[in-house]
Amino acid sequence: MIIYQPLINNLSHFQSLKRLIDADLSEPYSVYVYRYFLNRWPELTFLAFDSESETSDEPIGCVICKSELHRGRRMRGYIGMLAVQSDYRGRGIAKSLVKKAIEKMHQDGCDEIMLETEVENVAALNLYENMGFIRMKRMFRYYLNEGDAFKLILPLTQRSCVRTTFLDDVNGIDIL
Amino acid sequence: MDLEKEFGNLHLSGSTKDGLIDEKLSDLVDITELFFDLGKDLSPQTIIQDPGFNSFEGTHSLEVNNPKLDSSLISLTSEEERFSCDVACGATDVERLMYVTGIVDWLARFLVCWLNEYQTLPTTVLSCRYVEFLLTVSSEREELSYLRTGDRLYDQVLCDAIYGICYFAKFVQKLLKAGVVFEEEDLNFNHMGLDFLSYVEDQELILTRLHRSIDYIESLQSPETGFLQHLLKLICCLVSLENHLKVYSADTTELDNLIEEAIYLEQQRSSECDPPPGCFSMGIQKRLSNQFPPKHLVVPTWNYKGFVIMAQDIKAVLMVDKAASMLEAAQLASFFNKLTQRHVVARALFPLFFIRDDERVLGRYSGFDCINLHLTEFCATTTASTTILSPEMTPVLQEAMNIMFEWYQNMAQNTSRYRQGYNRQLLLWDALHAQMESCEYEIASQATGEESITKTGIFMPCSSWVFFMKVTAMIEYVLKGFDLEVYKPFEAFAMFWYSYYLSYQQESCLEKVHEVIESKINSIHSLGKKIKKQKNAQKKTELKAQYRHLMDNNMESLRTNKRYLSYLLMHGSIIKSLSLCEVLQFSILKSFGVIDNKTSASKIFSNDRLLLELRLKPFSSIGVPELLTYEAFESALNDLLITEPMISSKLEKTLDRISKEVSNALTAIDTIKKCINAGDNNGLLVTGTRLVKEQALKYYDQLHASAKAIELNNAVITAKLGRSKSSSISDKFTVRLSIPNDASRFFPLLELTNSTKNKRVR
Ligand SMILES: CC(C)(COP(=O)(O)OP(=O)(O)OC[C@H]1O[C@@H](n2cnc3c(N)ncnc32)[C@H](O)[C@@H]1OP(=O)(O)O)[C@@H](O)C(=O)NCCC(=O)NCCS
Repeated sequence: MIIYQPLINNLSHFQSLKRLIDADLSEPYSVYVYRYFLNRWPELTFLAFDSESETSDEPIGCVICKSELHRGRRMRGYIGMLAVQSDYRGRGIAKSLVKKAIEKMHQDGCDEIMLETEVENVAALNLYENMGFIRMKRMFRYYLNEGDAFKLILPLTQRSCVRTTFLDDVNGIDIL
Repeated sequence: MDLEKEFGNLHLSGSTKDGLIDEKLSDLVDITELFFDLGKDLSPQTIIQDPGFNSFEGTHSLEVNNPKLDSSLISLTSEEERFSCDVACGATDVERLMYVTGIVDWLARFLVCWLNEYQTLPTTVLSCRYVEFLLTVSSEREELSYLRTGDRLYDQVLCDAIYGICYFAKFVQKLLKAGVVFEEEDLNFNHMGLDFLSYVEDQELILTRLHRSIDYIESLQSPETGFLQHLLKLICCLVSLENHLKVYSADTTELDNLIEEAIYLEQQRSSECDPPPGCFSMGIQKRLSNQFPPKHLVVPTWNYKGFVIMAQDIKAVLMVDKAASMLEAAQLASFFNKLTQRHVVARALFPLFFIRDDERVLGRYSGFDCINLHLTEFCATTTASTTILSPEMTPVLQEAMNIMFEWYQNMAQNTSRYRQGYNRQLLLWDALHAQMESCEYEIASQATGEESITKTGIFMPCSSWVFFMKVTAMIEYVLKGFDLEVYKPFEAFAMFWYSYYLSYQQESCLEKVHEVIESKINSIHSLGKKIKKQKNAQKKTELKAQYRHLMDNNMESLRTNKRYLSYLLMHGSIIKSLSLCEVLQFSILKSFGVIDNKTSASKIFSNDRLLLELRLKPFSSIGVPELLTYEAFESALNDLLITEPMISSKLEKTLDRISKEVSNALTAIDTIKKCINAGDNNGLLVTGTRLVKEQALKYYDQLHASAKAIELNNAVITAKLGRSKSSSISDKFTVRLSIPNDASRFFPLLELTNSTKNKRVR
């Protein structure tokens, strides 16, 4: 059985998370990227474990997110990383992880969820677009490995559909 | 705080930058223990809390001891380790010649890798030990330094070639610093802390030395030197390129020479020589200041034609110097980078060559002249000259000029930035529109003459122009999304319906302007008739003088205005017709249940209204044309759907309508193409495309192919779906957006494909 858990205050999986994600990255992330996400938004990282596996305490999938006030006006959730170990793919694990993360960010008052993914990453594009994300823009040679990327957004509230310039300031929210 | 004090105590007294190198090891303090001691008190959770440390910093941060991120861990071969710039590689004269040729050949081809193929400097040109060495020693002395191997091929020829290449790189650096193209995205200039000849001002010096080297190897009278000679000549051309920016030279002699040399070198594959082992290496990433992860060297292909592309693209930019009107300049800007992204050097050069350091356009027009010309060539002849000259108008025109400059600059951006540029511009045009309207209205209502009063009220030529520019930007933004594959098939209806709506708005505006111009022309003609009827001799003479004046000064430009507006109307009608065709085909496909304008995605987090509103976010604040609501889109589609009864005849009607629109578009395309070919003095239309004839023709050819493909799609759709609905159809087919060969990427086809159960593409 696949079990899903938030990371909160449990940094013991740090190395295995890093390994899981590094395996699929053409350009590596430094330890600081992981620290940046995991230390500040541990509640927005979700892990998947296979309770029946011999290494049931090793995560086999994870999604790493953050949420911040965008230009002082809009609460934006951001999916930074997502990976499922290759032998566990195609079983809906990524979908469940992403759902959990979005639910949490929704509860926390996000107006939208944003992420970037490579134009060539059909699996990720299908996954997100089937959840309602749309491509907002294309970015030329966004990745160090030279591929273009799409910026995807999932609007959760009407505030996502108004240019920040025309939104009221969000007073009293200071998440930094 | 204690920590900072402790760090302060670590300061080594008397160790200057240079002194430190000479410091004896015994004089240095080992801080390892203290460092770890102090570090013990830091908890990982608190380290990255600095507000300045964002995810950008994160993804760009390096990590000591991580082989993928720590370039000090790069391992070098023994040849690389041992490589010395103090000795000439090669045992014999011939071997040394081959080596030097090999080095210069690699460097030249690395330039193409760097600029045409978006590679980095350290993995190309800067991977050469000699480049690193020469730039280092020269910058210490702030003058060109030379190798001292005792071999003239190395000590002179190689050095001269390298300085030529670096001088060209310095020009590229200058282009990058001007901020038109983007570091990393368009161009990498990771100089590894090396100074690219900032102390060499004199292009002549570099050229003279290159020529002395050409003379020298010529004097060797060996057939093996031919290749190297041509390489040096190619480098001379590169050195001269800065003239297009330094003195705004539009002379293309050196570019033609560059093309000639590059074509020659491209054909000399058999002359390829290897550089000495160890000469090109990742070592510089290890030795010098490096803020990037280690990266393997590029293997250069035989790519001399890359220089041809660069030179031709720069020539396309320089053509703007020949613009006989602002319209020609604007059309060049619109078309030169539209269908294929131009070389980064050409793109970076364009706005700088066009809008000069002193803010003068092409060195000929002030910003005010420029905007004045734009207005005049659109519609303002005689109509608005008084308006433009009103003092109230000055700040508004100033703003118009700023936006226009931004518009020009945007035309040279890479294909993705180009769309984003419009996203920004929309707000600017919209604000300007409001500002211009109120200013122009004020001026017009104060004016006494009937000059600007039309049947429909006060005619405001300047505001009409701004409105036209705004709507054009909106249409371009919408349709460019198809080119960039930003929309899913379900969104095609909304986007094409919106571009149809916008083209319709644009058409109304243009028709009004056209009408005003026409009535101006007619009123001059009727003055001619009045003269004939006039009996009073003195009045007749007065009228004649007035008539002559108008004929001499206004008629010609009014006629040009009219023909230009006819072009704009015709162009707009193509966009309008093709958009409508797409909308109608969508409605057929939706009627048969094979596509929907609603997302098939899960709606647990969002809904169709939000998705549409997000998609239209860039337009959410635009006053006119008013943004269409979700309901407006829904009802537009509903009205077009083919429903019982008499499906077959309704379908026929829709198909007929599509064919009619296609044929409208084809006629307009043919007329425009004829006029482009005939030139602006000879046709029905003024297109302003003289300087970009080839690109403009290609653009309309692509629209032609799209129109044809849409027509053919009618047949394909009916063949596949039949002429009556059946419930099984929706399972059998799906729709994808595809671009037929040679067709426009702005109007992809709604292509029916068989749906496959297995959607996974691994
Ligand atoms: C992308 C990734 C996380 C998907 O993980 P997964 O657990 O296999 O995905 P799921 O089984 O939950 O699939 C969810 C949806 O994603 C899409 N998808 C997943 N794999 C796909 C593939 N190979 N091809 C096409 N679509 C695919 C499908 O739409 C699927 O829904 P469906 O099964 O209803 O058709 C996984 O392939 C991965 O780790 N890739 C490498 C890292 C990466 O690319 N991360 C995303 C960067 S933003």
